[in-house]
Amino acid sequence: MTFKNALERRTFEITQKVCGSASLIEHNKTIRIENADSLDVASFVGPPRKEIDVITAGFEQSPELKILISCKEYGQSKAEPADVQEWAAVIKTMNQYSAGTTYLGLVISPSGFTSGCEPWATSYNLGIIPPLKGKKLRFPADTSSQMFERVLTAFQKRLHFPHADLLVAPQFYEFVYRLTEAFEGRDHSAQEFGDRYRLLESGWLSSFQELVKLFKGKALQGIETTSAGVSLKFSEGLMFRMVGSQIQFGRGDERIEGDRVTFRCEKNFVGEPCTFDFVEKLVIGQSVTSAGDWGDRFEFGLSDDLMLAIEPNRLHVYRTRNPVDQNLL
Amino acid sequence: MSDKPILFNSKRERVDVDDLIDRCRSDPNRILADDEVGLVVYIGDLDIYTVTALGHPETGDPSPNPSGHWAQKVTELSILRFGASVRRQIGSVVKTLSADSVLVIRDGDSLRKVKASDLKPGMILRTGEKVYS
Repeated sequence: MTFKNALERRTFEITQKVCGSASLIEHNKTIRIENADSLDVASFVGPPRKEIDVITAGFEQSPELKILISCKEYGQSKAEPADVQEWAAVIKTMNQYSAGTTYLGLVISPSGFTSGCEPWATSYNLGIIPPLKGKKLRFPADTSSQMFERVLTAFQKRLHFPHADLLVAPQFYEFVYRLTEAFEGRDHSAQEFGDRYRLLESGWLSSFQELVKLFKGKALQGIETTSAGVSLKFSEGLMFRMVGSQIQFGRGDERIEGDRVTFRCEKNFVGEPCTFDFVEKLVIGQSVTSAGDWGDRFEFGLSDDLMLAIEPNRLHVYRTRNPVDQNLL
Repeated sequence: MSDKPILFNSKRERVDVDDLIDRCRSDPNRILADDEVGLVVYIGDLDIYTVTALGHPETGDPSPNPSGHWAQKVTELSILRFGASVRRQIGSVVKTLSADSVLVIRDGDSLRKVKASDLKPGMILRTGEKVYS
């Protein structure tokens, strides 16, 4: 099988993964309308024909419905309204003279679309990837592929339920938009936090905000320190780990790699030495009230006005109650 | 998870979002997406509604309800894991919107889409409501 470019290859591989044998790629395909016995399509050269490169996504649960996908690989240039108009014309004609099959259209252009494309896509119910969001966004090519896989998978599942509404403009456009718009937040978070936050089990990228929402109110049940990092166990099966500069959290395996080691432990704001047992006795059983990330140091605000700071090889606990000198640990 | 919408059923009883998602998980086809980006669940046949203060979801007509709220049927429940939110006063209601949610405003004789984060005081929505802050 030959592909015209890497985008086409990736798109077809995803289509095959989601739709299996109901996926098809054709180059220079001459598309023909299914119903060619109408007077309005009669001409000296026969019914309308057009050569296109198309990836077809079919669905076992709805064989009468197909998505025709157009891949636009323009390097740094964005797809123009003419690209969307062309695909709109193809889909419109295919549906108008269909003998039972319904076609939806999807245009993928990783370098993006000019703003003039949107009204054509909405009025002809075409999905566009990546989405147009009213400002100059650029998504990496990988993100466009992830968007496409998300849309196709979701659409396939959506077909198990009534879906006639998606066939009416601009509902399919909106469906694709809703499934792809949130990638902006994901990519923005990746820029802001890098690889700092990861969820256990899934390994998904995460954020400080998600960590706080998950841990607020949960009680600390145990602390384990190893040569790999530090692991905190919380109520409801939640785990928090600091491994190097990365924070891994969520519900997952309690074990942390490495040999057991004793971290340097300090108390009070000035950092007086103390034992691990001292820290443990103070903080175990306390609930999370707040959190702070200082880059090389992560702090949990705990009930009883305690603050537990975690660094890759140090634990620090102090009480935040005033006056400070009368509330030393 | 991220901010959750307020949902209720046709009897106007509050629906717990977590319970609803747990119920939906028993049918994997309802989980349209569950990944790094967020969770999308199909609930179009479960008679679930949310409240919108932005005019009728299809016609844009203002609500006949004195509170100014419409009950809008929810087809897909979407929980974003990275949605930054903004607070905007639109008409008489202060709403929390996802920063990248799209609203349609009047621009002279035509309509134009803007992101919630780009809404400016003085803009008029398609529904006739004015943006105050």
